[in-house]
Amino acid sequence: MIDLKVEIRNILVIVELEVRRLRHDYTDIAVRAVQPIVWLLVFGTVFSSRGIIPTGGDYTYLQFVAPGILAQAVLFVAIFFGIMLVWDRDSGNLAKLLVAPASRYSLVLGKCFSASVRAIAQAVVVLSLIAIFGIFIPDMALKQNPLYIVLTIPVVILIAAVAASISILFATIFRTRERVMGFGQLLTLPLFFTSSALYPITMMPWYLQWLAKINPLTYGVDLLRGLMVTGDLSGAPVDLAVLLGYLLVLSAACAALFKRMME
Amino acid sequence: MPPAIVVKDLKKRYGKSVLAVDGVSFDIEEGEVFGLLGPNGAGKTTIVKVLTTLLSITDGKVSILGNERPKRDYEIRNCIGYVPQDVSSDSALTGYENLIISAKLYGKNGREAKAVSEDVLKQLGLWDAKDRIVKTYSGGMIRKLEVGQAMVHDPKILFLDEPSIGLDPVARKQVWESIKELKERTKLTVVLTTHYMEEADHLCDRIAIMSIGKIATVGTPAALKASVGMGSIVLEVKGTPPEIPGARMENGSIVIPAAEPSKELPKMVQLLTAAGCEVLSAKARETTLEDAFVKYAGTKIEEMDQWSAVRKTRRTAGRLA
Repeated sequence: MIDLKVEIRNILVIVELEVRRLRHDYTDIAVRAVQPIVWLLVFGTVFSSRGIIPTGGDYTYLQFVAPGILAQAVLFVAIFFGIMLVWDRDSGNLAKLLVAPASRYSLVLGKCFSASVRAIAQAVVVLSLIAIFGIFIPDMALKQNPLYIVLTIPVVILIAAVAASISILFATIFRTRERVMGFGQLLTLPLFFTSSALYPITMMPWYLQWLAKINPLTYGVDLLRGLMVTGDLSGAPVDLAVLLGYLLVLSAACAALFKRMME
Repeated sequence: MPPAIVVKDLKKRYGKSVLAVDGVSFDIEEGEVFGLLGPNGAGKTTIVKVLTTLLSITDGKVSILGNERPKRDYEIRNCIGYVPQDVSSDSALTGYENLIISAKLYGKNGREAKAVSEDVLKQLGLWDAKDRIVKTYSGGMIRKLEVGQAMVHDPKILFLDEPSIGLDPVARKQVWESIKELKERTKLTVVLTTHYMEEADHLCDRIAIMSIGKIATVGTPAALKASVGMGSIVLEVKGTPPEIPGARMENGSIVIPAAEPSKELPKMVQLLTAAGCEVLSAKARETTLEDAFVKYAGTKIEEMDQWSAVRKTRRTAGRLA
């Protein structure tokens, strides 16, 4: 009954909708670019100069933390994406999608990858900033070849889709902007701080390490760090499997609960 | 020919307490314009959302073009178009882009989507505005665009939830004309909800009068009006009028029952003048749908609005204005 070609086409149409929305209004991207700059130039520089955090390799802390900042920028874009869905529900946009002959699953995945569209825009900004600042601050310059840097884009897509699926799950359960916003706020910092974005997991006490292991962001950062800094991709198969697993399970849950949005 | 839509003993409950639709049954024939008329909060929108597969059924049966809900929701979605009460066009996109996305959602490839979008824009008279962001459209233009978006896949049934809400009288007439023209051209079945008597009277072949989750009666506008009884002629007269059968006094005026008040008015004035009376004012009072509504629903439509529904309606109106 489920025609894979049709479902993929539906996902792409919903993504196209987001691309067109973005093309008409860039302010969101511009505003969101400020935060990563602060993290890189202020937080990164301070922690780098004092040598507080061992990076566990032949690279500076600024280089170590750059993938973490990228992951964070992606997380912040996507974790509030459920609010857009509530907004779409309150206007008639969601009803329009729901009466179309598309499975709930492809609608959810379409919305997840719509978050990825915004995340890619964000990633391009952050990577450009790193490249530009890297010229003036050699500590920041990444050591990888450009091809690896390009491969960060599919990883960014995946991280954003996972984060968006969490947010959409909140939206299907709580159904108001305020609550989705609140739960997004509640989750962002724990997700960020219990991942390997700012420091190696080995620095954490055992119970935090345990949290880090179930935190999808850890696996995303690991992939990004391998591609951008260390070149070590030995953990990539596990990282990808965990992220894809999260996406499939969460989006299936969203699809099952999706009709609640209209009730 | 079997009916396009069959609804039997439909009940819809929100949560545990609110019974929005309380055992409703009706058939809609192919090619007719069927109106659900009632105050805000009567359950019209809920019925439309059930028919368009957006809401689950609590109890009862719904079948659209032979497809039963919820087993064949997918087939139903393929053959219906829907314009929700809320503004459903993406306000950040152009009119043209909105149509392209809608067409693609219904399986058209890039070239087909482009062709059908251009056709629709020309038919609706929106061609000159096609590259403008929808935010800059007037309320009437947005509603027309939404109807266009709902028609990109040539549906058999079109659902319109309060199509002219929040529109000024001129835009309302334009939207009505668009709907009529569309119906004539495509032999479409149209289901619409409204709380405007005039709209129901003007557009619908048959009307279901709704009140608090139930259908009070179903009939053609003419039959509904006729069932209320005759209209009347109201005259203010100086002098002693002759004996007229059925006439009564009301606030100092003579009220005379009449089957066709406008046609009988001149004759009546002549009669009175001939009898030596001076006619100060004369008014023909036709039976209106409003009279029928009062008869079947028990009160005037404005007195039944529910607060939450009114708020929602106002919000939509605000966005369209």
